Amino acid sequence: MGVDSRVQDVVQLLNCHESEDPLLLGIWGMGGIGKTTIAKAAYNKIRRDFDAKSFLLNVREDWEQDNGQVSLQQRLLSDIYKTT
Amino acid sequence: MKERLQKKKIFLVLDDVNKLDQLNALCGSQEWFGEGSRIIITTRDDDLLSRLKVHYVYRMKEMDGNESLELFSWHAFKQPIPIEGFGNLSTDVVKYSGGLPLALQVIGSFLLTRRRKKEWRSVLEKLKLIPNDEVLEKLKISFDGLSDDDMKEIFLDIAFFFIGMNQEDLTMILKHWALCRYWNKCPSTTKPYNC
Repeated sequence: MGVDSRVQDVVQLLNCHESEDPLLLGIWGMGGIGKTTIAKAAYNKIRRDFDAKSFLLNVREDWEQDNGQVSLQQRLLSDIYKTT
Repeated sequence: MKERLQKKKIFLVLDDVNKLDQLNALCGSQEWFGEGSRIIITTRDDDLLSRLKVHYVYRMKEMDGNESLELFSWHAFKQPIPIEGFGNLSTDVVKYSGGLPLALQVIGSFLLTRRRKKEWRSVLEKLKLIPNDEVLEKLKISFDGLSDDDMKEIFLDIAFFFIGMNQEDLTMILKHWALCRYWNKCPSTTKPYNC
């Protein structure tokens, strides 16, 4: 039990995907259990292997703001461009 | 948006998603993503994941009472079980932390330097008042207890930027950072160029 072993598991799942299609991985659990922590650690660990990356924090909360959808899309695009 | 995203190997994390619309707007059709792309979605909604047809679901489970007490003790006492005299207080703190690892670690570390039972009871009383799903409020107990603004800033920096980082690297960064703070408080002294 611990962050490290969970991150290891998630990274392993991300790496074992053979197909050319993008892999979609869901991390499920109640609030505060550490989903974001695990996602963030996995992100920090392997992000260098990608052409472009983006970590959109708190989508649920930002979505509810005025213009939330547009500003989330803008963040995504600017992240992807920044890392090109 | 579609043309711009096409054919890159992208790593995207969508944190705390609760509606299908959000996914359609942000990663829509998966044709947008180049070969080898990876998308992580974190959510509290199991149903959403099944409707999305994700390839894998990683399920985070709560810790049971014993695991919680052990994790808490490592942080509060630097050993796997509570020190003498703190058994019942520890069990109570764990009980009101709702089995959430982050709350257990943060509150445990906060109590590490506090050995007066009065201080423990005061933390416990605050914990009891907060429902178990209000994690941020629980963490705020230790945040509010930090003595000055510098400490609060360090706490937030660590919480947001350094998750998953190697501990030695982090220690070096924090030492460097502390040195910079020191230099910056002494304007007449020559500062290292990279502060």
